Amino acid sequence: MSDLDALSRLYLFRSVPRSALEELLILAPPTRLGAGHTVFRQGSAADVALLLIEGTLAVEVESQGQRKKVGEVKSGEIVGEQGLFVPGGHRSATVVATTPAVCLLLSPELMDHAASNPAIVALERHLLGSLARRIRNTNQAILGAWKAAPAPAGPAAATPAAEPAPAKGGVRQWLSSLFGGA
Amino acid sequence: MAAQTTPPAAAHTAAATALLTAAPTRGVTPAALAAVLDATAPRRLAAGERLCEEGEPAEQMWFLLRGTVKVLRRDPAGAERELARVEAPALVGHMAIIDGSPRSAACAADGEVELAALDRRAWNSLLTEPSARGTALRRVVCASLTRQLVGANERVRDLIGADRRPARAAAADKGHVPAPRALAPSPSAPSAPDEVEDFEPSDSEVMRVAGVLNGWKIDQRSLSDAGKAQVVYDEDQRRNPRNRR
Repeated sequence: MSDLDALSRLYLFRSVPRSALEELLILAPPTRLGAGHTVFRQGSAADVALLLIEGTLAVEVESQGQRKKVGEVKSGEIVGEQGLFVPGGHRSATVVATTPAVCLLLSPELMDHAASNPAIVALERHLLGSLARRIRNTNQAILGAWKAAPAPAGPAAATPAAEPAPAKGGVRQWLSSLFGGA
Repeated sequence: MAAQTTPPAAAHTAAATALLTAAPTRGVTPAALAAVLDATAPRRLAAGERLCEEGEPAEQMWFLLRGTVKVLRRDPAGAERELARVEAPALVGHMAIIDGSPRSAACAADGEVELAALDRRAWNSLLTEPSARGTALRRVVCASLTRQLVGANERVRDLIGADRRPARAAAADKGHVPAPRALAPSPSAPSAPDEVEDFEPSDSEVMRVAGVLNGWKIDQRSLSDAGKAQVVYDEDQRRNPRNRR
C-alpha cells in the first residue's frame, strides 16, 4: 500500500481530497521508524507533533529511574500536539515505536505553511475533538475513582466536615495508573 | 453569522491581542483572531446575571473580554454553590460546543461582564473554513484545551510524586505536598520513598486537578469549605444518592 493510500484510509482524512493529501506528503515526507526507536523523550522541548500512519507507539513515563507504559498510540492518532499550538512546552512522556512505524512529523512551520490545506484543517478539527474527549474522559475517571474510594465510616460520612475530608486512596491509585506515577 | 451590533474593528483587535497575550498561540495573529470576533455578537451582563445553566444544551461559546464569571454547580441538596471563577481574557463554554455535551456548570457574572458570543452556526462554519480566521479559532481553542490537559497533568504529577522536582518543591513550600525527594537516585538528593508512600491527595488537591481540566480557576476560599469542595464530585451522587455509600 502506498503512503498516499495509507493516509487516505485514516478516518480523520475521510473527507479530504487526495490532491490535498498528496500536497501534504510533499510538504511532510513520511518518516519510517524501526521498532524500539525513541520518538520523543520526556522533558525535551515539544516542538513537533506526530501523526501515526502505520504501526504502534508506546507512551511511557519515566519516574524514579524507571519507565512505565501509560498508553498506546495507534494509526490515525496524533501524539505530541502540545508543540503545535502552545510555545515553550516540554514533553510530558517518552514515546517509543513498539513496531516498525510510518509517521508524519508535523511542525508549526508546516502547519502555518499549509494552513489552508484541507488535510491540515481536518487535523485541527480532529485535535479539537480528541482533546475535548481526553478532558471529558479524565474528568469522568476522576469522578469514578472518587466514587469507588471508600467513604468515611460512621454518621459523619453523610455530612461535610468543617475541614476538607480525608484523602481517598482510590484516587491516588487511579491517578497513578493514568499518569504513570510512583 | 453577522454580529447584531458589531463593535469597532479596533476594539476586536485590542481584545484579540489581550486574548493572545494571556494565552500565546502559535500561528495565530491578532488580526486573524479579531476576524473571529467579527463573527460574534457582543453581550454584556450586569452583576449576578446568568450566562448559562447547568445541564442545558450548548448553543454558544464565549470570549470573556472583561470582568469575571462565577462557575456554579448544585450540590446534592439542590443548593447552588460557587465552585470557581474565570477571569478575562479567557474562553468560556467551548468544551460543550465542541462535543455537544450539556453544560457542566452554570455561569453568572461577578460584577459587570463583557463577552463576545459565538453561536453554533458560526462555530460550525468557522470549524471547517480554510481561512486565517478559521485557523485562528481552531488553534486558539486547541491551545486552551492543551493547556488544560498539560496543567492537569503537571498537577497530578505533583500529587502523586511522579516527577518535576522543582514543581514539587514549590508545592511543598506552599504546604501542598510532603517534603520533596529525588526522582532518580542521586548522591546529593537521596530518595525517600516512605514519605511518598504515606502521601495521599486531599479532596481539595484533586479538586484543583478537576478545576484545571475544566479550565476553571478554583476559588481558594472554596477549598477551606468541604461542602463546596464536595460539589465537583457530586454529579453522579445527585442522580443516585446511594452511589457513594
